[in-house]
Amino acid sequence: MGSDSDSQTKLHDDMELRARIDRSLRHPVMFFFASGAAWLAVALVLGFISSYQSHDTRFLSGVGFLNYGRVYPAHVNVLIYGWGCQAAFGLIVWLMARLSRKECTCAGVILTAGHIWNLGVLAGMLGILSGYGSGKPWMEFPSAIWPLFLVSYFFITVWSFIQFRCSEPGKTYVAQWYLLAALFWFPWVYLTAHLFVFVFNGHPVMAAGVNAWFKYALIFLFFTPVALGTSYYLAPKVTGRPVYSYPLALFGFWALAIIGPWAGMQKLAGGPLPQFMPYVGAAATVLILIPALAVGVNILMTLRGHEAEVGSSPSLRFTVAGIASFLVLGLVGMGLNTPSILKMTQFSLTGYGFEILAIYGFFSMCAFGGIYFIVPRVTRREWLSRRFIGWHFWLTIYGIATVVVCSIMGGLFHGAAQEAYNSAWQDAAKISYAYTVGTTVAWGLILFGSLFFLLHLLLMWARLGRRSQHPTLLQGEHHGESPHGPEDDLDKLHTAEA
Amino acid sequence: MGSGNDNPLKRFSSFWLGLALFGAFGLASLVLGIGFTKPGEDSFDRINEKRRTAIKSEIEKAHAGALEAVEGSFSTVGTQFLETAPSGVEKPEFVLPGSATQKNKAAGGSGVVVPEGFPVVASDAPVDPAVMEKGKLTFAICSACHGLEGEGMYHINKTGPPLAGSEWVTGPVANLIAIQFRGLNGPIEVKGETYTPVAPMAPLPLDNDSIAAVLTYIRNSFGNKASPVTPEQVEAMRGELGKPMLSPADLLPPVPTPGTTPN
Repeated sequence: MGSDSDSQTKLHDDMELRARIDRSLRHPVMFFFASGAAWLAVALVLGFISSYQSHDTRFLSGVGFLNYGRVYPAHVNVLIYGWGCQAAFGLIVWLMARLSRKECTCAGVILTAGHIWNLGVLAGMLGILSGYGSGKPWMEFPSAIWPLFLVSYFFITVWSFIQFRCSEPGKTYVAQWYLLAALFWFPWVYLTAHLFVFVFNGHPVMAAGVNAWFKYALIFLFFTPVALGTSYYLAPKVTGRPVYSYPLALFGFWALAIIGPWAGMQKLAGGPLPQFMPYVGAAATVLILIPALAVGVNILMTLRGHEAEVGSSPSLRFTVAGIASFLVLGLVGMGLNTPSILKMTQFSLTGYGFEILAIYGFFSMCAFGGIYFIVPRVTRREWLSRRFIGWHFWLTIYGIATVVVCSIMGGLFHGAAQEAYNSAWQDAAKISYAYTVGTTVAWGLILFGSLFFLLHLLLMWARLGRRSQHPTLLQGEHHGESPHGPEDDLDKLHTAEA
Repeated sequence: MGSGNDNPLKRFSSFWLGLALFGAFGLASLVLGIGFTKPGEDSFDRINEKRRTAIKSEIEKAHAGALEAVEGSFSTVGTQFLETAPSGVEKPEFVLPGSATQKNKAAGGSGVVVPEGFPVVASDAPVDPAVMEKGKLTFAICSACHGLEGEGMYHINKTGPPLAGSEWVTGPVANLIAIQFRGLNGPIEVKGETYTPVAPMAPLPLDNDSIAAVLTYIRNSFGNKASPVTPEQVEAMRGELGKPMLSPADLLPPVPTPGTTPN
């Protein structure tokens, strides 16, 4: 009886701690997720416009600040810095606190830095739309903004590093490796790339190479580890079993760490660079399949036998979709970077499709999974509507699949037609017409789905969620056994104690 | 339990370690970047900018020179045209010794000079109809200004004065031949009326037969009656060719003054 009482007390302390951590991070995390979702909606509107303009050049052609050359970079940069980075910050901040078992003591600083980041995104977007973009892919925000981003990044994430350092010595979770790596890889990639592009008087061709490297480094060294860290947290947590293979996880992590930094310069294949540079990039992108397979097998094997939970839990469903996209990303990366196909990807839609697959199909789906898990915990309310979640999931899945297939397949035909040097270039543009129309329609679908997500998230932040002990599941009833375990049944515990 | 690992000192040191690690790569890049940038060396962009500026100023300079040349060329071309305009040869070495020109020059006048031995034709000498026909044909040129009937076009378009009944036409033959060779400018009084044509009559130095025929024709048409003109008379007046254009004052008086030879 005494040991039972001890374990009961321990469980109680544990729950109290988790509740305190969640409470301490409620506003920063909800701020990042909600403003990220709002920027996502903006990015999708801009993506819809730019995609529409790629097959109908007269669309909004009379509006100077909405011409293609401004809308397209605004779309990509808002998607990355407005949505992607902020979702990643929310995930890093919350997961690191939970895994290190430390309350956040600097929520005010994080919130302030988050506001500065948001102002930076706003200023950057307006800068691009009013013609002050820098013209360097993924660095288009006016060049005054990147030091601001770097400083606010430091004040958002340094607390997670402190929590990690101050956590109890002992086992470090797989998720923590990835999150810690992402924490330090981002400033490396971001600062190095911006210094070499904007500050140093390097050769401009080399600056273009650094710029191409920056895109893939940001994907493989920031968005990928954050997404994988989230998945490595959610899959064992929701199923209540350990990660399938610890050595495989270790292998996957170091494979990514070793291969990831080399990717990117294949964009300049055939350009005036030493030829080993683009081909090293192409080889590294092919080799990304190795960590993709390692992680994919590990997480899917962890979920094996829990297909019912995958079907019913929004978090797991999005996570599985994201991990499946990561596997597809590895395979597509292998296919696109063979020398015979590489030349068709240089000036076609293919690169865009690959980037969207990485940012949206892989990272964002994993981030949605994390958000559907985290938000009920920090708000202590359950999601309002399974239908909203379902709409969000299916519209996003079908939309993103359409965007990726249209851009990559259409881009390959587009690139092959451009290679036909003895026919008019207009023929190549005509070939991609149907695919760009498909992309536009799909962006519309995704926008529609993400509006459900944004609305749902704002209602949750306003604490209008369901007051319930049972998570919102996509299948079955809201009562019964929770696949998320008993951790949030604090009220039930209080009731039992009373 | 975990408080041993979590204390303010650890947190403080972690903050600065974090800052150092965040900035480590940037610092390394900065050192590399500054180390590899030679002081005072222009960037690639700056070198290109300088080259572009130099090319631009060169082009502008060339354009400025060309503009000056274009503006100056108008007067240059005009001067050249004036310099190359044809004019009568008046060089003294071209004047034949003993010729009418030489005598005219020696006399210092620009008036019509009747050479020595100018053939005389009787005023009632018969007129050859063949010559009249030839003259009529040649008169087609003259009729443009003087009218088909010699009535003159002056009252229509201020060109030629009338030939019909003109005292000049039936006057001295030397005048008419000289006008063919030298042209005639200025207001001229015909039958008591002053005519000021808009343009002078241009010299029309045809061959001797044609000039003789056309002059014979006008002297014996439109009601005129005077002696025919012979090619020999025209030939004798060749010395007039190349002299400055005539004015009515240079002509011999149409009505012979007493004591001179009526021709």
